[in-house]
Amino acid sequence: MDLIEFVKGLITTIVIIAWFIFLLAWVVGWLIKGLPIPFLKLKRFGGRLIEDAVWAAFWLAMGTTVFAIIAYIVSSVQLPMPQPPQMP
Amino acid sequence: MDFLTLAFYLSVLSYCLGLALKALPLPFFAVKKLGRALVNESIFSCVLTFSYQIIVYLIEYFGIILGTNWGFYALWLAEKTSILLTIFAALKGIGLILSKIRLNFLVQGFLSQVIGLVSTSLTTIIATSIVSSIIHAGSSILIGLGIALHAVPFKLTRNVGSTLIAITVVFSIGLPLMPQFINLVTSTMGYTLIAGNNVCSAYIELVDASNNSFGQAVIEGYSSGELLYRYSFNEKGVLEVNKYSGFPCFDHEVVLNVVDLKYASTLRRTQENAWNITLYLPDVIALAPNRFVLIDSNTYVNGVVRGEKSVNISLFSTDQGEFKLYVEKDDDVVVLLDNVPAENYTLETKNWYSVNYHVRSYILPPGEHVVTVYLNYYATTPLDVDLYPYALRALNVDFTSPEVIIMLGTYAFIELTVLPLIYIAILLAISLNLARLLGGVSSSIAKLTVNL
Repeated sequence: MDLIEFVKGLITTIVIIAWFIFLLAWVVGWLIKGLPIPFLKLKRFGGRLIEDAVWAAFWLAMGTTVFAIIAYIVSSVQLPMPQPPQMP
Repeated sequence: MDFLTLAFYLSVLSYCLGLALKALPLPFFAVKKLGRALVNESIFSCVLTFSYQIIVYLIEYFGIILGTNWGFYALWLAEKTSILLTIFAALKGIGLILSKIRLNFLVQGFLSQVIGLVSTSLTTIIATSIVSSIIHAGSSILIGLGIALHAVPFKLTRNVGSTLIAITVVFSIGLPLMPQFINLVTSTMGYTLIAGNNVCSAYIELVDASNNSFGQAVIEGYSSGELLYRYSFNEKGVLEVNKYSGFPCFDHEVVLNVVDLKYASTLRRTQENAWNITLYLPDVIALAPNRFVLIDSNTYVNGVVRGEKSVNISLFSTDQGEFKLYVEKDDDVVVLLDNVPAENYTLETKNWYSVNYHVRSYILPPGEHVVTVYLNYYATTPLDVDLYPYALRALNVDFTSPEVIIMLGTYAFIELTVLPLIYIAILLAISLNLARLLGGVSSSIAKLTVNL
């Protein structure tokens, strides 16, 4: 089994899971923030959840795009590893 | 396996993991902190992955600045190994003679201890040479592996990875400088083992007919027919003999060997304790180390013009003569005689101290001629010479008084075991500091890159 392919598969899985977590966190966050109870601390916690989730989603989108671009460029102009230097 | 690709994907993996952890709707601050740390680490690892080429260039750059020369280092190791082997053989011989004349207690006493010291030095030198060749030949692979280990998520192998990178970088630059370090330390000591006034140091340069340095030759010294020493000139045509290896302080005959050529001469003392002489080869024009042109006695050199890949030699021949071109077996060489490719030559092969030579003999008609040699070569084979340092001859090993050789053995132990180990300890300390920089300061550097 190729280790690199394995890591790539792992990345795909983790990214999908991360998007689901974002959705979950967003929903849970709004749920808590919108609760009809007068606890300001709880509402602030909900807001923080939303904030974290949105930032994470933003960086996830940015990061995966940038990394994908890098991987694409590298694979299209891939150079072989340099030969180790020889003993004189 | 391509370690760099793996390292890149591992960095992406820790980045995504970090963000997934950051997005988790859990009220635990520790989880969020771990997520942020993972993202920081991943970005640092990614930067390191793309700095691979820079690291390799930095090794080369600092190597050039500090004067790292693997060829010189290999020669130094070979020279020291041969000296130790000679001392070892001498000690064994003394032990054998002593036990034959029933002086076993001497052998069992201090002599066997000195043999132990010398063999320890030998082991250290050989181990150092093995480690150095591993680091030298595998530096790019070791750095790649280090970067891949560095990028594994959750800092699982980060310490190991950064240590691997740091050790490879520091040792690639620093290890070939060991001879300089040892020479520096022993020179400050101002102590030469071989007491007595009959051992000098020497700095000898070898030049060709056009006063250009001539690389790789073997010099032997004789006094009333007895061999005093055998040394070899390096690729730059320089022979530096310290007092440890030793050079005779009196007038003696020298014989220079270059492939099948022999030049005999007498050296006369001019200075105190140090020879500084230039030896001149009148009928040879150097092209590169191990490559030269030999002219016969009817031919004179009018001028030599050296280009990057070619050498122009103006010759004047009074009679029908010939010139010979000595090159190594694998060289690409084109010879023009008066700008016409010279195809008629006889080819001989010669083996000289493990260098395989091709010798081409060309006919040279009378008159003025221009010989142009285009030479393309990949490497210069070092001479495989059994060096015979004068110090051992000067020891005049007397089996009834082995103190001198015991001193020599102990000194060799200090110079070739203790000092190399100190130097390696210094390099290790530097490596660990560098490793700490690579593995420990990661989050601050990554924070500078991306402010999450």
